[in-house]
Amino acid sequence: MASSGEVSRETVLGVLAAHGVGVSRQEGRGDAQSFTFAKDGVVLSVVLYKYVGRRILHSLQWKLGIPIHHFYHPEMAPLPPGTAVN
Amino acid sequence: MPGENTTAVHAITEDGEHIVGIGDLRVVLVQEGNYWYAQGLEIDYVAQGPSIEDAKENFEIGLASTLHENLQIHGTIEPLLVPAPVEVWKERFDPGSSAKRYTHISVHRIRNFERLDTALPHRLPFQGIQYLQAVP
Repeated sequence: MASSGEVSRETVLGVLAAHGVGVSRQEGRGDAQSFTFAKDGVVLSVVLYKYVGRRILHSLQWKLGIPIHHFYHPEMAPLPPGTAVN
Repeated sequence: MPGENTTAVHAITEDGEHIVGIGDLRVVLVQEGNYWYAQGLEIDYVAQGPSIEDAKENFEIGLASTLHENLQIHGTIEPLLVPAPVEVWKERFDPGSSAKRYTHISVHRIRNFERLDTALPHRLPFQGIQYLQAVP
């Protein structure tokens, strides 16, 4: 985790996938990458950087229903769909 | 009164093009950590960037893309007409933040709009325009 509640982009994408959010990756500009997220009829396009700030995480929580603490503790997120449980 | 001048307009032309206009949307600009954030007030959309200009650009790109995707899937921008949370409104009065007004007009060609045909207007600009006011 970086300063000011920032979380790595890859962690965010992993948590979203674990919650069944559809992720579409579009073109990038340097460190910036455009994504479209979809879940339960909610569609959101956003530019993400290497680290994702608290405000964006709150927005993902509010719009997509992802508990914000899962971004900070991704081990608490559900297993991604199709993951075998031993 | 919050949002009293903000307007959101969605029209569909006879050719099936969606025309979207958003006027006088207030956007709060605030810095946290390594990034700047642009947070809409009357429309709850937020973007980040390493500079204030990047945050503003990403706000415009991201909101336009989100509008397009919602038109594509739902045929309306109504799901986006939700104001930001109360905490964000309070930040408007924070001395560390500033607010800009944002106006957006775009034309969207939707690949599959058959189900919207019944809503096509007979003529523009007046009869077919659906005015949607973002009410906090």
